[in-house]
Amino acid sequence: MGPTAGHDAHDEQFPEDPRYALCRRELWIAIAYWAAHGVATIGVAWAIGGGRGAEELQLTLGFPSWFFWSGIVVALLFSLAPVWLVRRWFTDVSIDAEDGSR
Amino acid sequence: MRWDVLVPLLAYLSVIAAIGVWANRRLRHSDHSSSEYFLAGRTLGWTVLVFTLLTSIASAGTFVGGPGLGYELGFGWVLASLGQASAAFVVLGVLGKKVAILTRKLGSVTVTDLVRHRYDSPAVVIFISLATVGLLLAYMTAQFTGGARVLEATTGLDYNVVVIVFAVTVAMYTAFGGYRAVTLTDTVQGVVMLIGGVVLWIAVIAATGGAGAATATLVSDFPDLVTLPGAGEFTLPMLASFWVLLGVPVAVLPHVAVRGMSYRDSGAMHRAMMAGPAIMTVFTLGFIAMGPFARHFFPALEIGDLAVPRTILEVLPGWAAGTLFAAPLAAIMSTVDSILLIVAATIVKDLYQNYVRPGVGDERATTLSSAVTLGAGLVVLGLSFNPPPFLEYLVLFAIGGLEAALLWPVLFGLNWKRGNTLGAGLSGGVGLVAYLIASQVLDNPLGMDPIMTGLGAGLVGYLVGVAFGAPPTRAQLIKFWGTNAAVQDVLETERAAKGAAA
Repeated sequence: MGPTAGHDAHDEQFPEDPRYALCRRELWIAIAYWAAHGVATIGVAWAIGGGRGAEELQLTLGFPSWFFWSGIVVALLFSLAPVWLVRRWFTDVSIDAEDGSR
Repeated sequence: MRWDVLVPLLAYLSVIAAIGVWANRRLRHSDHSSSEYFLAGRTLGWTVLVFTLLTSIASAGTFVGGPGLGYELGFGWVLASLGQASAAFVVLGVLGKKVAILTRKLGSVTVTDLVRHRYDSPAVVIFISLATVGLLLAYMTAQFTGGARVLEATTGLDYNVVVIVFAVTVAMYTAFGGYRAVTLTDTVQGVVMLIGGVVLWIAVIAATGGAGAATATLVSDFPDLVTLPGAGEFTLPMLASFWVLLGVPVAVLPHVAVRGMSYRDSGAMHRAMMAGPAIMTVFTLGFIAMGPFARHFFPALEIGDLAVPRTILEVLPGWAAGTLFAAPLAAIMSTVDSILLIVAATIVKDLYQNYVRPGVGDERATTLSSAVTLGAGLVVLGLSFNPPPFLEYLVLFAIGGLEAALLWPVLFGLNWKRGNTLGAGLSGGVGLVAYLIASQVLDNPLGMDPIMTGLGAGLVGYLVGVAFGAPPTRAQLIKFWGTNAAVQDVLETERAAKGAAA
């Protein structure tokens, strides 16, 4: 390392831990799931009940319909989705400091 | 005095205290004291992981303040609060195995320590430590007073007596048991909450004759509580900003992020991610959705935070109510204990060991941690004697402030090789200041929660820092992306340099 090591750090290669590429993919899955969950919950609620007064309110199983379909049905779907997501997309690797998988 | 309610409650507190004593024995027989004290030796299995994670997030907010706001603002707030439902998946996914692997390589037990390794700047570390401690003390005050107020109102005991009993129990078992005691009690408490959430719904539905009857009361008497945007003005931008406040940024809350350092293996993480969202959905719907329905029994409570406690007393016999009160109490205790531990770790490990007495040994650090934990508990107890009027708003304020200061420095630090010290410093400082201005001076700018202002300003700050500041050093990059051998080389070089300087 020369005196300018800090400035050309991006050009200098060093052995990268290969497990981190996996972590990055899983990070994006988590963010995408969170965004989809938000869009579905808020979107469904707003599509059914947004801006409508109480006199137009419809009930489903005793709840306001907009809340039933978003806060209960969408919530249940998204609380089960991770089972599939994890099984399909997440990889078991060693999380020890040393990469024991190689 | 309701002895039928109190006896099961006190019995529960004793069990929790006993777990603390047991964990303390285990602590004394272990070697790596610091890692054992703060992270239970990084050995958590999935059940303990999922419950300690969720009960650290679901606090007085979910069990007392959240239903209180539901009582005031209606179903719009319940919808907004569902943003926390997928927390286990989102938080563990965002921190990811990278945080687990990285903290093992670096030997870190706190988020602040990761920030120190990544940015090498005393200014950034001290700023983040102080912001963390300050906001967490505010957060804990909300928790203590929430729990104590509920106990006071439901048992008839004097507020000051209740808050002391409560504070002493929590501070003692945290101080002596450390993280293992916290995670074990979290698991017991999580199970109590899960059962409590379900039992409460069954009892309420039996008492009202169905959700329809309770909703009918709301439609005729409180129409603002069943509409969107409704009483809480939950417009699309407001709902979206709550989704942000309770979503991805939660991962960087210091008491949440440590959970991502402490599991045993990737299997434990995966199972916690699969089971967590269903459990958190039950917590959220089970308690917060109870808030609007409490109007059916109590149309005009003076203190909305009493909605769930009063409903519990209304629909259940005394002994069952007492056992169930363990649930909100459990939520509060498990959040406070994990935060006490973070405050201790921040003060002892991040500030004292780094900048005051670098040579201090691990054994002494652990003793000191116990003392700081007790001390912080006493500080919060002192603040709790003068309780704030609205618990939930204080909770949300503290969470937002932490996220505004920490999100970009941590997220970019972990995942973006161009992330640099100037960016972290600007982002933390600008983000927190913008958040404070948006929340205290301006009133929800653009119809959104102040968190959006804080995160927006923080993001700009980080990008400006990256554009104009020096790039990260090779050593910083190796620590966060290199193999273990390379990381250990860098750490060795640093130790040698420190030794030469001293």
